[in-house]
Amino acid sequence: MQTRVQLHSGSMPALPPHVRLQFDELRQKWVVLAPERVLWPDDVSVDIIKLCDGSRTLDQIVDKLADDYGAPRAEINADVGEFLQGWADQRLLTTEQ
Amino acid sequence: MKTWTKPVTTSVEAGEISRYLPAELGA
Repeated sequence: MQTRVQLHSGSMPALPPHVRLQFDELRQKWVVLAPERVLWPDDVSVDIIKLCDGSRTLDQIVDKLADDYGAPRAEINADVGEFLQGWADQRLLTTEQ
Repeated sequence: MKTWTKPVTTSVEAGEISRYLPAELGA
């Protein structure tokens, strides 16, 4: 049994090889393909997922989104942390640290 | 400037799934 991945500010999240983000041309929407499931992320979710490339820490992802959206960093930090932890719990995300 | 909203993702488990698969996968 795998240990639960606990994200923290220094975690560097990335999509594992078996999870893929791609654009569905027919529906003009982003889709995440994972084993035995399909996920349809909203625009904010897509922006978060695109930043999860294993090269940025969670803190850096939040900084970038706070800059792009001009929203309070604390709010974005809470929402992104909850969102990515949920994905990690479903094994849709790996982390380098 | 884009508007921040709480991120939401709709998930479809395997099973109706053919209705949601990307077209190029032969839905």
